[in-house]
Amino acid sequence: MNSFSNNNLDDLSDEQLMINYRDGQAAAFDALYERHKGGLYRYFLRQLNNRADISSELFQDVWMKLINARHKYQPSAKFTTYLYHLAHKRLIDHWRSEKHINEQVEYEDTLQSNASEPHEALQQMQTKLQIKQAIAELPEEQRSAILLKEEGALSLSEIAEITGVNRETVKSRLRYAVNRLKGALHPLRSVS
Amino acid sequence: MSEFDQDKDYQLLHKKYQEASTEVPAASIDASILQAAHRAVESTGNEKTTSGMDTQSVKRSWFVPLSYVAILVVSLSVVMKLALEPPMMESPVYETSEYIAEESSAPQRNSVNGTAVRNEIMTQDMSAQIQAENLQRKIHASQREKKVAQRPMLQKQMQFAAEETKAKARTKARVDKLAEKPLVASVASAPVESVTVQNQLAGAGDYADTSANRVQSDDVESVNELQKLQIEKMLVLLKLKKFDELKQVLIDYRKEYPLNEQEVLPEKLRNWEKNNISQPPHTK
Repeated sequence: MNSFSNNNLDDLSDEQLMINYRDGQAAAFDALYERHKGGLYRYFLRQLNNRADISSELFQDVWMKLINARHKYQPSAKFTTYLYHLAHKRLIDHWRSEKHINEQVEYEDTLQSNASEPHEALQQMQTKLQIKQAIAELPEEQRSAILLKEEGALSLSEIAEITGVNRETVKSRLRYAVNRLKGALHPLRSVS
Repeated sequence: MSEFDQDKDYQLLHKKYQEASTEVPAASIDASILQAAHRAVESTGNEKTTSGMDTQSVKRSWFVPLSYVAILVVSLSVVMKLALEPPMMESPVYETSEYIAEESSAPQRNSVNGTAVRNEIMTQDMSAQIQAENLQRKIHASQREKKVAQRPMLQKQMQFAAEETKAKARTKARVDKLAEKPLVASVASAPVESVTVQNQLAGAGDYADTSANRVQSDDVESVNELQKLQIEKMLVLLKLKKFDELKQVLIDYRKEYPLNEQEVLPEKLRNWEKNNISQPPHTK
């Protein structure tokens, strides 16, 4: 019964899961959380220069806000748009309160590898490090655009709605971001 | 999928990024968030009513109509109170005049609203003025009553003065009438009905200008018109308490009409004569 119920929940859309949770089905939230916890957490992690403590705090704040505001939820837009809109606002609030400084961080401690061979593992770790370092060095607007695209899987219009700019601006920011990341991709391309 | 998604550089970046993105929140964070979510649903379930409606929703559903009813009741009570209250006694006439002048000197304003406001203000002014006039009349009436109450003799004096004026006018008219007639013939031809005249004059003790108490002029004329007029004059003087003048008139009267058995002088005058004038010699 439980597995049947969980299978049914997996088939439901994000919006329907949120509606079910709003109407009192706690398991719907479990499924929803499982779908989006990684992307949202990494969104904060990348935006906050891999500071896990602050990222975890903001991550919890967003989910708690979603839980408390479940009665007001109306499926007028995609759930991910709603979720990342909350995340983006919370991030801006944090930057305002902390007087955001673009800090350089070291990634060595956070990088993990599941590769079996030591040489392969080293290569994977180096690739991840270069990508994350390149993203961290992007301007804030371009980094937001590329992270919302990658972690939230949002369209250009949805990113534009969240960041408060028009669709062409988002497109331009993404192109600039990709071009700047080519420097990190070039050695990767040669490796791959 | 947009044209941006088909970009090869982006596709390569996307692939590498997804391979590198393996971070997830800590298990403790997962547990705390899921626990909060379940707890929120359970607390909501406890708040459900037996009919399945949320108590907060039930409360909220009553807030709006309740507030409308409250506003309606307050508005009606204020309107009723204003309608039942009497208008102000003191009307700010000068302010209203200034306002009307100002209104008339500002034609660019909305004429409909201005006319309505002016009519309303003028109506209020008229009612206030009428009330003020009524009040002023009442004040004057009360003041007059108070004055009369403070001076009770004033009314009597005014009445006596009017009566004296009337009596003098009548006396003068009759004297003029008699002057046209030969006095000797009048006196000679006049039968003296002393008893009748005496009774009538005695009955007119409480002198007043009424038909019942008035001396019958025809009867008096039948006795002596001049004598009757003198008696009337004396009665008036007695009433007005002009005793000096009365005394002089009575002395003159006695010279002409000495006291005798056919005395026609009213008892009132006779008593006064007895008390205030030494008795002349009785003539038969």
